Amino acid sequence: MAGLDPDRATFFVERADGLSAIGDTLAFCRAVEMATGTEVPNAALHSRAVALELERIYNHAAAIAALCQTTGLSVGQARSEIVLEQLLRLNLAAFAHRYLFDVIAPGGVRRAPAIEQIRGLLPEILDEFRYVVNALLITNSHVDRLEATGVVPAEDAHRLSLVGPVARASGESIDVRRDHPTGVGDEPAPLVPAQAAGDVLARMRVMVDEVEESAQLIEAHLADAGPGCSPLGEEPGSGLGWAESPRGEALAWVSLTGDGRIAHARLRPASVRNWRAFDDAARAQNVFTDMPIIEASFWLTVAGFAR
Amino acid sequence: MTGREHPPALNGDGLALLPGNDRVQIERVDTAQLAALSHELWTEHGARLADLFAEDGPDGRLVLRSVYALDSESRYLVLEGELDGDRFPPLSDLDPAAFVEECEIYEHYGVRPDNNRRLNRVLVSPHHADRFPRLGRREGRRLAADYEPHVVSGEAFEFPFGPVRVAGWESLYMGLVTTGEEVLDLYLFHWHKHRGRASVGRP
Repeated sequence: MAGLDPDRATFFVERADGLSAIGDTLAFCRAVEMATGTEVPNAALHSRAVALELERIYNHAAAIAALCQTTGLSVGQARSEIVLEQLLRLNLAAFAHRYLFDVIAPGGVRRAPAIEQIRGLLPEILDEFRYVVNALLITNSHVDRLEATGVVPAEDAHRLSLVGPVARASGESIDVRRDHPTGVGDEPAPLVPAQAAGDVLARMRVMVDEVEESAQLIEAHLADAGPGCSPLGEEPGSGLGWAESPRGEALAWVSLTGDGRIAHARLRPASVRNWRAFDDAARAQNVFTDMPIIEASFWLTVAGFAR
Repeated sequence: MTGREHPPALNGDGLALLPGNDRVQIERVDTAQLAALSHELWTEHGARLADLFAEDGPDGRLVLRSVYALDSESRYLVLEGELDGDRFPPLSDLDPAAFVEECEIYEHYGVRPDNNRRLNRVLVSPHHADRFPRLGRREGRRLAADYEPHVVSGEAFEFPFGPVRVAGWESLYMGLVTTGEEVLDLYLFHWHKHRGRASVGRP
C-alpha cells in the first residue's frame, strides 16, 4: 500500500482478510487517524461499532455451521447455514454489502446503517440462532466430539499471546474493546465471556455468548449511529490502530509521508497470532478426524496470515 | 501518542514506563536490548507481545518495532530501534509468540534473529535458492539450512491449508504423524508466502 492515499488503501485492507473486513479496516483507519490527529464524528463511531458487531455475529454463526459440518451433523449444519445466510442478507440490507466492505473510511464511515432494517430483521434471526444452538448443545453426538478436543491450556494461551475467542475459551480474558477503549465506539464496554476448559466446546460456548453480547451492543449503538467522515489532519506522522475483530485483536501500524500518503503500512490480523497455537491444540491426545473440528473452532483464515 | 528520544534504562529499577493516559507510548531503544526489554515487559509488567515488524528507515537502515499490549493499563507500548547489520536479538527464545514475526522479517528484509534456529521459509528447491525472488530488498547473510526442503517420511502425511492454488505451495502446511487414527504429532509450517498486500502501490 506504500504510496497510496489512505482512503484508497482501505480497498486493499478490507480485502486482505475478507471475513474480518471491518475489524482490520477499523484498526487501519484508527492508525491513520492517530497518525493525522483526526477526530471521528460520534455518529460515525456508533456506525462503526454496529458494523463490527454484525461482523462478529455472522463469523461466529459461520464457525458454528463449520463445527456441525466437521462433526457430520448435516441437519445442524443446514440450519446453521440458513442462519448464516440470513445474517449475510442482513448485512446487505444494513450496509449494502454482504461482507460489509466499503463501510469504514479514514475519518469516519462511507455509509450509515439502515437502522430499521437491523431492528426489524436481527431479532428474528437471533431467535433462529438460539434455537439451533440449544439443539446442538443437547445433541450428545455433537457435544461429545467437542468436549476435551483440541485443548489449549491457559498457560499456553498466555505464553503464545493468543487473542480472541481462542484465548477467552482458555481463561485469558482479553478483549481490546474493553481493555483498550477508544471512546464512544467502545462504550458501553462489552461483557467479555470466558471459559476455562480451553477445548472446542469452550470455544463454541464463548462464541455463542459473544453473539448475545454483540446483539446488546448493536442495540445500544443503533440509536446514535449515522453518517459522518472528518477530513484527515494535515500533519501526518505514524500511528497504531487496533480493533477487536471476530478472531481477536487486529493491529495496524501506518507511517505517512509529508503529503499524507502511506510510507509504510503493517497489518496484523488476529489469524497471524492464533495460528501459532493450532498445532499445539491439534497435537495432544487427538485423533485424525478431530483436526477439522479443531480448525473450525479456531475459525482462522489463511488469507489473514498470507496477507 | 507519546514519543521519547532517549532509551529507557534497563537497570535494577526495570523499564521506566511513562505514567499517564496516552493510549500509545513509543520508546526508542537500542535494539541490542530488545530481547531483555521484551522479557522484562512480559514478566514484570504483564505485557503481551502483540506484534513485531520492520520498516525501512529514512536513512536506509532498518527500523525494528515491537508492540506490547499493557491490557491492565489500557495502552500499547511500541519499542523501536534501528538495526545495524543483518542480525537482531531473538525474541522468540524467551517469547515463543515472536517466532512467526521473526520469520516474516527475514522473509521481507533478509535479516534474521541472532541464533541458529531454523526459520520457516517458502519451500524452494535447494538447487535454485539463489535465484529465488525475495520480497525484501536487502541481501543479508543466508543460512544454507533456510533453503533446505522439508522432508516428511515414515508414517507421516502433509496437508495444505486454504484454497489450493494452481502453482506453488500453500502458506500453511500441516504435517501429521499418525498411527492408525491416533495423531502422534503434528507440525504446522507457516510458509511465508506473502501476497505482499503491504507493498501494493509501491513504485
